[in-house]
Amino acid sequence: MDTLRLPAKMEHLDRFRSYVLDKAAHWGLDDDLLFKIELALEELIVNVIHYAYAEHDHGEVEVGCSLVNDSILHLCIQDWGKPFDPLARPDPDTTQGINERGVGGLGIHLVRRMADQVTYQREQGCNILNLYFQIPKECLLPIEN
Amino acid sequence: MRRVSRIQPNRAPKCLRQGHAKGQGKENHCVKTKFAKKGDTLIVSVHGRLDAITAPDFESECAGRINGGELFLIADFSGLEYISSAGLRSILQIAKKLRQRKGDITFCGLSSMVENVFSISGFATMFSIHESLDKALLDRER
Repeated sequence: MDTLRLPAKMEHLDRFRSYVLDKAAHWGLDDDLLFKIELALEELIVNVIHYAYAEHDHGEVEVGCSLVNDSILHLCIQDWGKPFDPLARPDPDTTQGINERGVGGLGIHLVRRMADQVTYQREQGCNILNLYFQIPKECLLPIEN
Repeated sequence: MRRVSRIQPNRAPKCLRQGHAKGQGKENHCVKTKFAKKGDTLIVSVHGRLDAITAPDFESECAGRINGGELFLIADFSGLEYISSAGLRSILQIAKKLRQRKGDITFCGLSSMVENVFSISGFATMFSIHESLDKALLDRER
């Protein structure tokens, strides 16, 4: 899998976005699926930017994107910051009213709902998140003879 | 299985389709907010994206109007292509600010994916959502 590794800074969010979306568009995925992939990517990258590293620690984030068996888009996001398993967090209470509702915690909830499968591993000082998006058959570009 | 490797222009994401060059930072993350007054209601039309980069601008523009005395907002999202939790966060802050002043915000023109994000987040039950601006305005008049 080829990857893109850059400092975990907000100014690079767009590079990661273009990197993944250019590939996904190239593979012919439709707008709804692109929306889901983009949303999951943004939430996780922004999470790393905000929380993984101490303020003056110039940490990096790496994104990989590949097609598996022509039916699954695999997104891999890695950072070398403090251990953080987003899947261990409880889902926010989405039934609360405007006044009670806290302003955070929705990002990871959205990621879980956008991707078909999400896994987390901590390996050799690295947080590894693997996301899998099932590609509906009609999304694929037809084979041209 | 082999697939033809070419980009279908009509399938590229809208922001790429509109000719935004990649990797240009903020220019690629475009949001335009227009305000129009109808009676005591402020119509806020949003075009583009509400993400981690653009949402703070949207929030401060709306906060400015609320500080200027606006109490009833209709957010017309028919031009909204994309929203992330940062956009939802801004909306919630605006709603909290309005609620403190006995104001309100309603929404209209959500695309199916934006509506999906609203549902998953519980925003679809927290706020009034209308199909069109006309219907949202009618509801305000009631």
